[in-house]
Amino acid sequence: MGSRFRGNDDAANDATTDYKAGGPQMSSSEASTTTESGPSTGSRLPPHVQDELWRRSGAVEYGIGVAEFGSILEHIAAKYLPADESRSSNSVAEFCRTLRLQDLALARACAAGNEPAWNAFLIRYRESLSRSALAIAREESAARELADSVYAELYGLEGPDGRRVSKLAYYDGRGSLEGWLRSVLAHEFTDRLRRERRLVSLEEQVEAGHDFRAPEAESTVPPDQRLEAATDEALAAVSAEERLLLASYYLDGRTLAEIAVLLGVHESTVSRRLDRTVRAVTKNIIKGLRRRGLSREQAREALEVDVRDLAVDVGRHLRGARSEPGTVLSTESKE
Amino acid sequence: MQELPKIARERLAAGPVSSPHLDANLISAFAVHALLADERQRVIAHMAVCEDCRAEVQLVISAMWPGARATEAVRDLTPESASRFSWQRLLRWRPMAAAAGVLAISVAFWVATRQPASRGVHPAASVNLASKAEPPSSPAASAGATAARSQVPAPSGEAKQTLTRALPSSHENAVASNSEMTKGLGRDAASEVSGQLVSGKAQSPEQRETEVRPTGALAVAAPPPPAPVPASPEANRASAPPAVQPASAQAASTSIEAAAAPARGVQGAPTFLSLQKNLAAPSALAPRRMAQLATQPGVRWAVSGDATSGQPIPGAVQKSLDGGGTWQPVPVAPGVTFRVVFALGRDVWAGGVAGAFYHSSDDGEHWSAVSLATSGGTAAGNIVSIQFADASHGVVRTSSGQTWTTSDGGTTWQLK
Repeated sequence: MGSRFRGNDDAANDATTDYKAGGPQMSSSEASTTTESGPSTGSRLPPHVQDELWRRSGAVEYGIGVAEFGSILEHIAAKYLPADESRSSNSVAEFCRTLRLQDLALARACAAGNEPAWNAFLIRYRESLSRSALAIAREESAARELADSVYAELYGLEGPDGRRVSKLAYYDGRGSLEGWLRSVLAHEFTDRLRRERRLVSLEEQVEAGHDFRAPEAESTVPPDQRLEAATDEALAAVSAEERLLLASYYLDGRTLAEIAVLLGVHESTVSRRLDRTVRAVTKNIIKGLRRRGLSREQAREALEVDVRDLAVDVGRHLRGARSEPGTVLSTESKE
Repeated sequence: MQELPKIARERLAAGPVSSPHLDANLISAFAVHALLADERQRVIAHMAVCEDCRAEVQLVISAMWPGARATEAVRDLTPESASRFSWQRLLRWRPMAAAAGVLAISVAFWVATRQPASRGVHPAASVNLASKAEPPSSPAASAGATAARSQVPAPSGEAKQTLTRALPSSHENAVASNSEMTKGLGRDAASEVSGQLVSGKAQSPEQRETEVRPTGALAVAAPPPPAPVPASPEANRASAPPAVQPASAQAASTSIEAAAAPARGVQGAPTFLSLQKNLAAPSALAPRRMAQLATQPGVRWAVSGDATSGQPIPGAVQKSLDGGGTWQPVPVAPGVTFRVVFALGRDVWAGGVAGAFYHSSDDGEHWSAVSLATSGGTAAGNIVSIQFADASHGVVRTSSGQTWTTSDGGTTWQLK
C-alpha cells in the first residue's frame, strides 16, 4: 500500500514545508479557518512544551520533526480556540495536551506519505475500519464499498494541481483516530444515501408526472400567521439542547435511550426534560396567541385541532418536506 | 408524555441551518463527550437545527461497539449538567430524609401526648426523641448528597494488610457480580449504564478533582507507604459518616481503590486507600480508577488520564520508581490506548482499547502481546479489568461483559 507513495516524496515534502511556513496546506473549506487565522504570536507553543508533546507523540518514528509537529499543533489550536486575548500560549499548551498526540502524529505522517506510518495505520485500523463500516452500512457488500471509498480518500485523491491530498490531513487529534474514522465513514455513508435518495425521488416525480410547480398549500385552511409566529417565538425560547431533544425525539423518532447516550445523561433525565420542554413550549405558544388577541379557548383550540390529526400528518409532512422539488434541487450536498 | 403540538413540530423542522456542518473531528469528539464546554454548546446548537448532522452523529454512536461508549466516554464537561445531577441526587434522597423527619416529629408528638397531664408535657422527652430519630436519617441523606459515592480514608497500614489478604477474593466477587449484571442487563442496557456512567461522573466534582492529578495517574498499582496517611483535602471533603461504611462494603459495585492522590502540586504523593461505592455506575466506571497492589516497594504502575483531564497522553502506561513522585511513560505498544495496568512481582499486565493486551515478565522492560482468544471467540470490547491472584491465575474483564480466565500465567485463556 505504501508503495503508492514511493514516487510521491516530493509532494509530501512540499506539504511539510507548507506547515512550517504556516501557509495554506489544507484546501478544503473545512480547514479554511485554520489557514486564515494562522498561529499568531500570542498562540505559540513554548519550545519546551513543543518538545515534550513531540516526544510523547512518537512522531519521530515517522520522521516528523519537533518544529513541524509544533506547527501542526499550533494550527489545530488556532482552529479550535477562540482567537481573542484569552488565547495565550498557556491555554494553547493546555489544549494541545488534551489532543491524541500519537494518533495525530500517525495520521499526519500518513497524510504526508510516510510508509512506516501507513503500515502502522493499516495494522492498527484496517480491522476496526471494516467493522465500523459494517456497523454503519449493515450489509456486507455495501460496507466493503463504503470502506473502499473511504480508503481512497485516506490514501489521497489528486487535487486539480496534481497533488495528492489525504483525508488524514484533516484529523485533528480531538477524540481518537478510530472515532474519527468512524465519523468519516458515517459522513460518507449519509452522503451516499442522500445522493441516492435525491435520484430516486427525482425519478419518482418524473414518473408520477410531477410538474415541478411550487407545491400548493396542503390544507385548504391557510396557516394562521399568528400561530406560526407564536410557535417560532416559543421555540426560540428553549435552549439549544432542549431543541435538540425535541428534534431528536419528535422529528427523528429517536428513542429516549438513544438520546440519553447522545447527550451523556440518564434516560430518565431525557424523559423529564422532554416532558418539561413540551409543556413549556405548549404553554408559551398559548401565551403568544393570547398576546396576539386570541382568547384562551381559541388558543387551546388552535393547538388541539393540530394535535388530533398529528399522527397521520407529521410523517407525511416531514417526508413531503424532503421531496419538495425546490429543496431537492437546491440541496446539492451538505457542504 | 405530553404531545408536542403539530405546529411546533412543523416549525421545528423548518428551522434554517445557519451554522457550518460538523466535521468528523467534532462529531467523533462529541460522540465520546470529549469536547470543551463551549464547543459542545455550539455543536448542540447546530445539531438542534440540522437533521443531517443529527443522523450522522447517531450513526457514529450506533457504530461504536458495545461498551465503547462506557469506556471511551470520558466525562460530561458542562458544569450545568454537573450541578443538575447533584441536585437530582439530593432531591432523590429528600423524600426519605423528610419522611424520617416527619416520623421523628410524630413519634415525639405521640410521646408527648401520651405523657399524662399530671407530669405535664415533658419538653426534654420530645426533643430527645426527635434528636434520636434524626441521626439515622441524616447519614442516609448525606450519603445521597455525596452522590452515592463515599470515600473513607483509612489508615494505610492496617488497610494494606486487610486489603492484600482480601483483595483477590473480594475483587473476584466484584468481578463476578459485575459480569452477572452485565449479562443480565444485556446489550441494550449497556447503553443505559453508560448514560448513568457519565452522570455518575458528572455529579461529583470532588471526584473529578482527585482524578486530575499532576502525575496523570488514574489507576495506580501501589503498595502504600508505611507512614500514616495525611488525609488529602479531597478525601476529607468526600469522606462520609462512619455509618455509611457497611453499606458501601456490601454494595455490589464496591471497588477497592488504592489511589495515589497527591494534592495538586505536592510532591511525594500521600496515599490513601479508599473504599468506593458507586451505585449509579457499577462496572464500567471502575476500570479507570481500579487499582491493584504491587509487591515491589516504591514501584507503581498507572495509566495516564483521558483526553479531557488535561493529561499528556491519554491511555499510556506509566511507571514510577519512587512511590508516585515522578512518572515515566513506558512504551508498551505504540498507538494503543490502555485502560488498566496490573502488576504482581515482576509480571506486569496492561490492557486497553479493542482487546489490546500485553504482558511483561521483566518489570516492564520487554512486552509481548497476549491474545485473548479461544476456539470459541476473541475478546470483544476494551479490557477494563485485570486481576491476578498469583503468577498463573488471572481474570480479565472486557467492556462487553466478557470474563477471561487463565490458570497458566496467560498462555491460554478461557472465556466464561
